[in-house]
Amino acid sequence: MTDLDKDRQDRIRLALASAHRERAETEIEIGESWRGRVMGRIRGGVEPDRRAVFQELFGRFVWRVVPIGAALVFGLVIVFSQMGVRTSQELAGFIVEEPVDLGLYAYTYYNK
Amino acid sequence: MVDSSIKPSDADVVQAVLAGNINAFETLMDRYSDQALTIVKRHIPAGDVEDILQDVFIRAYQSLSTYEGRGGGFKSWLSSIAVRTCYDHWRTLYRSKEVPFSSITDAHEKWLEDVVAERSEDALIEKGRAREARELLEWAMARLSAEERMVVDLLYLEGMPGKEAAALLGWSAVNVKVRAYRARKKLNKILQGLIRHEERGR
Repeated sequence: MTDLDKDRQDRIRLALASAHRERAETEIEIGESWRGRVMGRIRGGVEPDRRAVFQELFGRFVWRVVPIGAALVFGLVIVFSQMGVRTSQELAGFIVEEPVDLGLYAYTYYNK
Repeated sequence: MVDSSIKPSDADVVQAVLAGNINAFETLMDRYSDQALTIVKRHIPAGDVEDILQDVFIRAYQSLSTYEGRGGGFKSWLSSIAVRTCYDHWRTLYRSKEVPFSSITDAHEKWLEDVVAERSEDALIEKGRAREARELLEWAMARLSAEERMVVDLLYLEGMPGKEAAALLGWSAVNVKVRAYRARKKLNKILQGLIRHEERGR
């Protein structure tokens, strides 16, 4: 058999989505006792979840900083490229073109 | 004279709770417990719904200081907490390998075979109401990861737009898209394996 074609996939999805909705329609009563348990836990001294609060605030902060960070990186790339910093490709080209010079340079550098 | 029939806004209630009036939190529970219950029922087996719903409100209480009243207001803020609590529940179960693995019988394979052969949309929806459909869905979902399970629930089964699902889960839209693609592929493979098995048995 070949892979499930789109038509068959759609039919399965439709039936499973119906099963999913059916699950959500299950009758579950939440009454006073449930509410009492929640309030009991809260009155019993549930502390603010510092980790959750931190994660929430950190998440918000990170997304706000992302555009600034990207702009900073972009700016630095332009500045370095104009300063004449050699890229790895240029260095590789230099090695290929002048292997002796580089070899001598390395020799003198490591035998100072 | 102050009109006592005017309901305080959600933001006012939140402020009251944060100022130390813990009992005011019950007002938020009155307003939103049905909506949170509907969300939890979609993602969690019936037996665990009450406990998870309890966790949703405890978590909401603990995070109340992060509520800013923006966008869809308290309703959407609480929806996000409800979905993330369900996700955390599955993550914990998968990590501790406590996800119930049901088995598949000939009746489930027959159900799938009938669905694949069915043409009428109404008949397919009706087939989805069968016990075999729910059991097969649970069986297949148990073979996905917690992340895949959530995106399959939200995007594949509920038809929610990726952006909305991303906001609820607190993930990026791209992340949701990639996970949804992988999860769908994996789910199809799982179900395809069943059909193949059925065809071999003939």
